[in-house]
Amino acid sequence: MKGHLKLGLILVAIQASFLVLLSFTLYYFLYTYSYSDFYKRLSTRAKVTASYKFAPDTNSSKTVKQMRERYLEHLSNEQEYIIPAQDKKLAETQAQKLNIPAELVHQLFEKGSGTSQSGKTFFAGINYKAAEKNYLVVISAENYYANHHLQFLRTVLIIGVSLAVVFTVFFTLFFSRQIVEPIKLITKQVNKISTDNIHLRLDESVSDAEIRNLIVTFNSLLNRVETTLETHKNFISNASHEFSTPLTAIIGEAELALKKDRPVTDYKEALNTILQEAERLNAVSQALIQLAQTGYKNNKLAFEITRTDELLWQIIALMNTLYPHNQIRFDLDLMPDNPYKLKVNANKQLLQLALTNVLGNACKYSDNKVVTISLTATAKHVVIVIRDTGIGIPANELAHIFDPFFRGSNTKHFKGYGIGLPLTKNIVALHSGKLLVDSVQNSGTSVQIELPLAYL
Amino acid sequence: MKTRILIPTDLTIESLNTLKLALAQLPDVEVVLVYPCILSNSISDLLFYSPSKILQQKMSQDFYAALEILKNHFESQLHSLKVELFHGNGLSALKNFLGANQIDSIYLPSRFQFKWEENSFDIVKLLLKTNLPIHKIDWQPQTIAIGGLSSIFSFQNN
Repeated sequence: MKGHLKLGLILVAIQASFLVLLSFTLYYFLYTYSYSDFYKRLSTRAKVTASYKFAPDTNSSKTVKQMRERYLEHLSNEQEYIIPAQDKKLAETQAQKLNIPAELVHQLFEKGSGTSQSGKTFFAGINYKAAEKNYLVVISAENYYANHHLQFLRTVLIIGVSLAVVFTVFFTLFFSRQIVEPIKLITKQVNKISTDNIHLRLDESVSDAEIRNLIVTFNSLLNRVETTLETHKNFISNASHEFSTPLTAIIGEAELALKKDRPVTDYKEALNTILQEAERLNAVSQALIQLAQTGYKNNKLAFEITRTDELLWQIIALMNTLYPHNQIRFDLDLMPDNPYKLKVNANKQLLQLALTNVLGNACKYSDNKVVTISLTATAKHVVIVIRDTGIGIPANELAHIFDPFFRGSNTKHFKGYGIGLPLTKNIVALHSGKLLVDSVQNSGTSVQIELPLAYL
Repeated sequence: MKTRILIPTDLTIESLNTLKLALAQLPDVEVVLVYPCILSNSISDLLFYSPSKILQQKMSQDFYAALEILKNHFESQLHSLKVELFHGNGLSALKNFLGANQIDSIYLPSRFQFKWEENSFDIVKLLLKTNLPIHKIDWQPQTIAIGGLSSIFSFQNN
């Protein structure tokens, strides 16, 4: 069963049972009240009738009769009976003739007053003693109120309750659907995301706190998945690129040496070149494998307190293996006095990968001109600025540089796949840092990475 | 001995290079950065006048960050660093301001051209007329307008 339907039905059941319970109590109490009230009215009339019928003084009896006719409402089908009550048996037979219930007569003899009902007619009476004789004074009438008003109330309640139930069904279904709507939307959006477009994120502009939490959790999960995926892609693209150059050299050298018989010195020279290239291949593969580690330990991203200057020196050493002709300058001009202001909470492997990417780009797109890395700290962040004097990025393309597989229009002469910067951005985001890129075409690019200082 | 120096700024990060190089020369120093600003004529603006609010509006996040970087780097020698507004328009007002802030000397860039915004004015001309010692600091203004914090780093164009 669909979740929102279930929720809706439960709500409807609860609300409907409340409504039915309320109307039942209302009806029940009004019903009992109307009966007891009617009996009271009947017995009042019986008393008044007795007092003027058996009054010794005709004047006062007339007054009482007038009063009764003037002020006591005439009940529907009202009748009065007076039965002499010397003998119980006689009175009972007489009452039977007048359609007075025997039970009432019995009550009158026992208690002196009583009430009874037969069909629609209600009876109330008293046992009245006048001039040493007992009389049964009985008044009967139909309860117009019970017959009509209560019936009317019943129909009103039934119609009202059923209408209310219909409305609640409608509204609860509507609202329960509304509650589930964002979840449906999330499912739809998540379904769209696959390995090809894993850079897509769910829209976080939702007002419900719980739903937003869900979306944020989803997005951070996607961030981690994407980073891992891109690390691998990055490795593959790097590997294919970095391995092919020395391999071509080795193959070329070997083929050339084998073409014809040569003196031993030529073979030695060729073998030396091959050895050099093979050693370089070895170094490169080790560097790449180091970069390919995703930084996961026991399925968790391992964050540790890292000194950024130390990390940068390691990265520069790594760059020297990967790009032997680079001219990287490490600018320590504005290093903070206090070494604590260089420590960040970071995943070394990932951060190394991110910074190597940026530095690699800087070297690559400036044809190994001078690249400056500046390291400094503000009150809350470590700031790493990497500047080159390369080809830059056209101003209208700056907005797209973080899109996966996007490459600038002026990068035709450089090999690349458009993987590095999006990956770097993801890694910086995982460290809750900021990555800012500013560039002027043909004069250079500056990449500013801000990482929050570790709390020590 | 502690000295108290005044450096004009147009609140751009690049203008802080004067401060950076001045600090490199001085062992014990207190710094007042001054931003010249024409005071509004509107009565309601004057009623709710608050120098810190004006500065908050004018100073960018990056400018704050650059100040923090310098504070961090010169932690041991820099005793205090504050940014002040100067509203006056005459030499006597400036002298009064310098006296109130107990300024010992003034540091000016020799090649850098300030980019004074609207509502501010060139304070350098006035500063040159005072009788306080003036030190000129020479540095290469950046030729490429690459933004962010990078303009404060000694990035030499080879």
